[in-house]
Amino acid sequence: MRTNSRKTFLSREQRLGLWFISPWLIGFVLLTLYPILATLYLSFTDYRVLSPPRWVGWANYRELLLDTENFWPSLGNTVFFFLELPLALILGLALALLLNQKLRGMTIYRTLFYLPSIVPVVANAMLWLWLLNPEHGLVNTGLRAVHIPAPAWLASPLWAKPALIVMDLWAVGGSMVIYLAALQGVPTSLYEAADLDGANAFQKLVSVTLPAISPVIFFNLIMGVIGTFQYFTQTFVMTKGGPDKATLFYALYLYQNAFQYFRMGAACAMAWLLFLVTLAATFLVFKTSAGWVYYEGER
Amino acid sequence: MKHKTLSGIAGHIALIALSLLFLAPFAFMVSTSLKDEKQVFTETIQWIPSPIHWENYPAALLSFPFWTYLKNTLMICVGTVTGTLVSAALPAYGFARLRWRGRDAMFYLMIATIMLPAQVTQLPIFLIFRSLGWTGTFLPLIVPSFFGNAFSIFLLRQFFLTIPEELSDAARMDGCSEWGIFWRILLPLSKPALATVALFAFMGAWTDFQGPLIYVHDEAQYTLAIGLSSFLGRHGGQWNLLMAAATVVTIPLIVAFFFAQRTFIQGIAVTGMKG
Amino acid sequence: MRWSSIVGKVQVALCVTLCGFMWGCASAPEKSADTVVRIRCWTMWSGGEEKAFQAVLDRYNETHPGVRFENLGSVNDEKTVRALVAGAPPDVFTVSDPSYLGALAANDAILPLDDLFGKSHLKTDDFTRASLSQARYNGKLYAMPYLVDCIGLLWNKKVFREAGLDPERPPQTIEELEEFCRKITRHGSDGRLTRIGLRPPDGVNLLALYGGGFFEPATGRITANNPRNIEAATAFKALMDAQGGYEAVQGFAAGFANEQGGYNSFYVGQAGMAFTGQWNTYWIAKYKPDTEYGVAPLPYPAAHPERKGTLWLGGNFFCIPKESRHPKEAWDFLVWTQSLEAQRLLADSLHGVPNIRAALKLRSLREGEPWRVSFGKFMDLSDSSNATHFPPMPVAALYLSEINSAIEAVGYGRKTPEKSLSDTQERVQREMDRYR
Repeated sequence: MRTNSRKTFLSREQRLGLWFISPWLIGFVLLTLYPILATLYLSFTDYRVLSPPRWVGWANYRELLLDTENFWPSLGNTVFFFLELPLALILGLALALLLNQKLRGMTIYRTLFYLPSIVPVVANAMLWLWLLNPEHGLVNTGLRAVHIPAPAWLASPLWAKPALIVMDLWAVGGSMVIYLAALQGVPTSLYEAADLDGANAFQKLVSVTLPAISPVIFFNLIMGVIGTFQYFTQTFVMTKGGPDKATLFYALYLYQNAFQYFRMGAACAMAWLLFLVTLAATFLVFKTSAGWVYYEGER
Repeated sequence: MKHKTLSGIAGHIALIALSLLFLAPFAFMVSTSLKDEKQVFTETIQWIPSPIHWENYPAALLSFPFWTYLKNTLMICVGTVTGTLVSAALPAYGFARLRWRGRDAMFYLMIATIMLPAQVTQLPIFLIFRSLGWTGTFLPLIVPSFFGNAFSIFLLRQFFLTIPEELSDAARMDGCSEWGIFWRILLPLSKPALATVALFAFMGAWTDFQGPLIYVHDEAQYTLAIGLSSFLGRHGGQWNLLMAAATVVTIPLIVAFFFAQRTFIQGIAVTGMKG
Repeated sequence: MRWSSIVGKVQVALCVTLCGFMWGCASAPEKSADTVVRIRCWTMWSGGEEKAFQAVLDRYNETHPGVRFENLGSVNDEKTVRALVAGAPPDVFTVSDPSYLGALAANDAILPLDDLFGKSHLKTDDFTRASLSQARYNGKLYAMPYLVDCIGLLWNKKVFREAGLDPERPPQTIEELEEFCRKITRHGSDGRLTRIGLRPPDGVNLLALYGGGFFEPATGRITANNPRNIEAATAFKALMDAQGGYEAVQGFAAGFANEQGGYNSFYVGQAGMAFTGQWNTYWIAKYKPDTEYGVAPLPYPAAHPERKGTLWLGGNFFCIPKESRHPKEAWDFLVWTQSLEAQRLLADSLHGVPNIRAALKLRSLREGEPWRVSFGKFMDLSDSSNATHFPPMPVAALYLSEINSAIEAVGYGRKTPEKSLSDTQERVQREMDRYR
């Protein structure tokens, strides 16, 4: 055939590979690449949604970067929320270690710890609005019963973010299950070798378990970084950014610009900045991962 | 051994205490859903209300068309799960089992899209679907799932990597095409991973909030998540009704999880193994 | 498939979608089978109020053969905006948050109604003072009010008695309000609040009391940080501090149900006063009928007695999209909503205050059940010369949210009133300048 007689642009392997990934590739071009570029274009315009976009150059970006009232605080709040990542790591791993014992009834415990993570987001938001109710909620009633001062949680600029973190930690079961699976995949021969060296439980944890499951920790960390940057529904339903902008997270402020303030151009600029920041943060985690993530035998 | 039993008891005690901590919110939810207003706002918590107010459930369910919402949600879920399964396996195979120039670049590109904030693409995508005349239907919620969800592809690729290459090589020697290897060897071995992907897709669609919020115009097309949030707006502060509604929406997921947990957790076990 | 041909196809697809994206496509009007003109009407009402609104529409449909209004309830403004953007708007819709009006008008998304208004039998003088003015932007009329919401002071007489105050005398001035708050506020043995004087109001309501204004339409200047507004922000802080501080008050208030329902802090007497609207008269009768309360205008600053009798108004408006398929039929309906019959039906079922002066005198709205007497009080106040509202402007949504957070920042003590309002000033002015 004619096409075969010419020097083809793609090798047979490449064509086969592209054919296999074509569902994703087509979707990528139509539903990702094109929209990203459209958004990039819009980020350089004054676009009030209802009238056509007007080119304004870097004005949106300049204004955002100079905005110390909303933009930077929203980024700050989001960065504060990264505190959750180590907490979720420690709690998830601790639960997984507890569950990784050879005791009876482990599947029941596992199920119980996992359940909170399958509660639908809106139902979860409703439930926690009630649990964190300063006067009648379970949390504060419990704290008062043991004479710990009970904060006003979502009504307090200081405690609103910690409250949301507590709420998220309740659903730590999702990552716990992944850790647990990883723990069960650690070869027993490694522990036997450590036993021969006379290692105690803590030493085994640090020098055998953690390195062995480090790829999984890494995976959860990456997903956590991405999820934190896009944290939205909970604040949208529960706090709308209040009190005193304490829960004005990046994604929420972006949404407000787009759909409430008719500043679609600025919203698109925020979306692009968010994309760049996420990429940078993930790149950073990837870079440092070389030092602490161990892949057995691969690559 | 004595030492073993002792540590076993300690372990159980720790686990029971933690379980109670994790379950308390559920108990509080169900307990509140069975109270009347006077019982809700008390100084100390009554875990088992007396009398029990079952009527909150019919009241909550009757105040919005629960069954319609459920039907809509399930339709979207089934469509999305189908789309995700159909479109995730092929690319995963292309990324995991084929060697071709540009593959890794494509793969990293795909991973990068996981990090893409939904907001970057939201508006143009909305305008595309509008120009197709699809707003006000479920199509914008279902059709994108047929174009390969990056996260699902990633999970399946990780699983495919764990299947020994020798199996494929043997089949290739026998003259089997790549499609044949994919269809007859890889897929049958990947049932747990496919089940996991299906479950993730199901749960994603079940709890999706922004999608229906943007695309669905008619109340007859509302999903449970949207119905629930408008219910929250309407009954703010009526905690007994809100908790009844939250319970009703959560229970199907818990039931589904109980039935599927074996496959689910095994699936996660394999897919989460290697980063 | 060859790579280059893939690239080619993708380019075509891109162009097609890009064209769709840039220019949009007008949807062709649907032809209905019967001769009845179907009007798609989107409204904010949900639940019981949706049924009530439907009943009003039914009445119109019955008496107006040839048209049929079909209602879609529970539509929020964001959804309407998206439909306007998508070029698929309804034929007529309600705006639930009036702060959207200015933006819709400034962006040419809704029909100016002056011509239609001029040709109809309606006269500006038929309307209460602060109803039509909420619908005017740049001198043009863009919406029709059909009910107003009227925020005044409610005080709980039983709480007043317990605090040693005269139960028949609400606070007249802000200074007095502060003093009353101090007297009503109670702490428990553990130092926690058990009762507050005033449920924390929206910042913008407090600014309204001082009459500093928000905007000069002639010059396009934002006036967020004028001296009166700064006084108001200072007073807000003092009011909250008189009750144990803003954070404590907010925490206490968050413990209760929101507006609707029996466990409202004001209804149960754990907040002695509230700045709130006429709908409470009906809700109190429904949820907590034994609440003893009175209705008064909002208090005024002692230094500015001309502010006496201030009321804060919000509105319920109908708009007709530029791309409405049946603007004429929609307008006829809007004219009907101004009739005495429609105003009575709407006010009675949705518990809003009529915006037509003649309807304020309707006895059926203010006599009968006991709560209607209090409702009548709101009707009397609604046409007061100090009844005021947020100015319609394209950046109203942003401005309102910035004001409320500025006052919040003052309440929590994070910023001084001057700094806080100057920040608002600068931010909103910058945004406003884009519209000139």
